[in-house]
Amino acid sequence: MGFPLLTLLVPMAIAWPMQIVHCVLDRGARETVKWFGFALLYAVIRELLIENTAPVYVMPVGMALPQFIPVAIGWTFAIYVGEMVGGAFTKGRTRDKLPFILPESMKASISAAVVTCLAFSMEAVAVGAGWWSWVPAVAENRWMLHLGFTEMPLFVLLGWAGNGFVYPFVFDFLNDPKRRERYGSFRFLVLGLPVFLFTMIVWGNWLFTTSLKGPAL
Amino acid sequence: MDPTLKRELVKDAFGLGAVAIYFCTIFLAAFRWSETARPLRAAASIPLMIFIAAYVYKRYFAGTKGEGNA
Repeated sequence: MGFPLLTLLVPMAIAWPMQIVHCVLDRGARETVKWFGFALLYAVIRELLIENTAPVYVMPVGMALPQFIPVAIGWTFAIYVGEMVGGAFTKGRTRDKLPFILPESMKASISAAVVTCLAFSMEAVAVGAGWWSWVPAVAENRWMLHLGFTEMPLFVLLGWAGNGFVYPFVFDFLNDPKRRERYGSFRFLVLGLPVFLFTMIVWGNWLFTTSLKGPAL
Repeated sequence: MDPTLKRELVKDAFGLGAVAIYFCTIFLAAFRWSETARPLRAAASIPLMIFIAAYVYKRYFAGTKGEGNA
């Protein structure tokens, strides 16, 4: 096959806009722009941080797009699937009915579980289909799961789970109507981005450096 | 058909349609573009399928008195 990643990029180029339509029908255009806009920003920053500090995977050479664009769309797709399922299970469980951060936590936890399952299904085929490959340091690390039919780094699954939790949690936390009144429109940038960046740096670097120590599991 | 249900079905046609495209891609990757352990690679999608099935159940079948939740 000439360029194997196309077999993933083309379906995603259809599926991702469908999610945007779903979001518009579900929450309206304004909320959709907000959700997907910040999700993309979050995913791009995350991917650029990984690419430039601790690259763990390599996509096929010859891709016309910079690597962070399809990766960011992929992240957004996965998180939205988590958001959709988590939202269905926590519908009606608002701050008025549940205390403290419980509404956001419940939804984000379900989302994290869904995103992890999505990651597991994708990682099971990705290397075999030629979508990406792990850099040697990752392929030989002790957190590599040897499942018989495939190999995938455990820390990558945890990274997906972290994204599946952090983005929906922070978004819902900051998008709460009471906080909207209190902090205004810039709360996402002022409060959200530092949280995102802190999570990525701590979570991403800790997982990666931990995974490189010791022999394979 | 109840207009509310119709609206929810249209909405989910997009949301679940996107997921269906994802599953098709994964199955193609497992059965056509992978060289080894094809059924096992495809079976790795089962946990996600369970979540999606639970989503459909919750949205349309888990309401009170058979009315669904959508």
